[in-house]
Amino acid sequence: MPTLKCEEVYGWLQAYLDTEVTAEEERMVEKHIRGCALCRKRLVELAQTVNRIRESERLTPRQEFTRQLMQRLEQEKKTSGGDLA
Amino acid sequence: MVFGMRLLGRKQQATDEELIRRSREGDHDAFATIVERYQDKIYNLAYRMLSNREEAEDVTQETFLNAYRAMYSFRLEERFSPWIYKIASNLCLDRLRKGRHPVISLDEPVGPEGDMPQQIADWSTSPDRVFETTAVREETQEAIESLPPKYKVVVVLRHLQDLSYDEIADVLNIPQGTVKTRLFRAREILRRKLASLYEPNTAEREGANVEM
Repeated sequence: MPTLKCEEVYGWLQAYLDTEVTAEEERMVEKHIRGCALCRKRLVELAQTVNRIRESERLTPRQEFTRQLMQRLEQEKKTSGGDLA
Repeated sequence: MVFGMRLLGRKQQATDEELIRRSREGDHDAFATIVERYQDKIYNLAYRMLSNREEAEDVTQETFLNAYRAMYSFRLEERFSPWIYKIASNLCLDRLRKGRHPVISLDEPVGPEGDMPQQIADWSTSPDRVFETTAVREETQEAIESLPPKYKVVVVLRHLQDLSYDEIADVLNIPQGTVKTRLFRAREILRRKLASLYEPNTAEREGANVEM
């Protein structure tokens, strides 16, 4: 039986996913999940959730949009021009 | 245009902060490089937050205009990326607060912009598999969309922009502990919502009520 309760480990389990844990916390999480099937399953599902989020669709702005944005910035430079610098 | 791109390519070596310094000195190309570097990131952040392509474009434009106007108040010893994410996140959160975004997204992933899901063009993948992948993606997207804005923004900054807890805290001007609480809760919500996608009938099995 794990010495720590699952609820106590949960926060570290989440931080473990983000590799935002200290070496000691990492050992603690690993020790716990070795002995706890529920937390192991949770960790796997959380990792899958994170992968899903990461793989969600990325869009590229329209080329026309980029062109317009650059033009708009060019205008901005002209209007704000000398008085800022 | 091609020349411009090449020039931009060569400037990729300069740090963001260096580019801002040059922009301040009147080097317009330097700011163009900043736009090159960040426009996809800002656009995707905004799209993920607002679920609408036109609004994402508006916010992207506003972000760069605001950044351009405010670049003289940017402190060069600070890091640029949290600064620009802060501008973009605030614009998105403002819009969501004002409720200006339509509830239903008009943007389907298939469009003339060439951003169709790649699987469709991939004939080596069986139609069943394509359907499955697309369905999973859609379900994931809907789950993210359904998060409350303050949770959603943390998820987007962490997993689509790869910011650390510390950087997110900086961008949103909230304590790191709050970042963690929101991120963990958001992921827990998503994990439960998407549980049916992992393996059947596991969602209900666990009664553990995790409160951070």
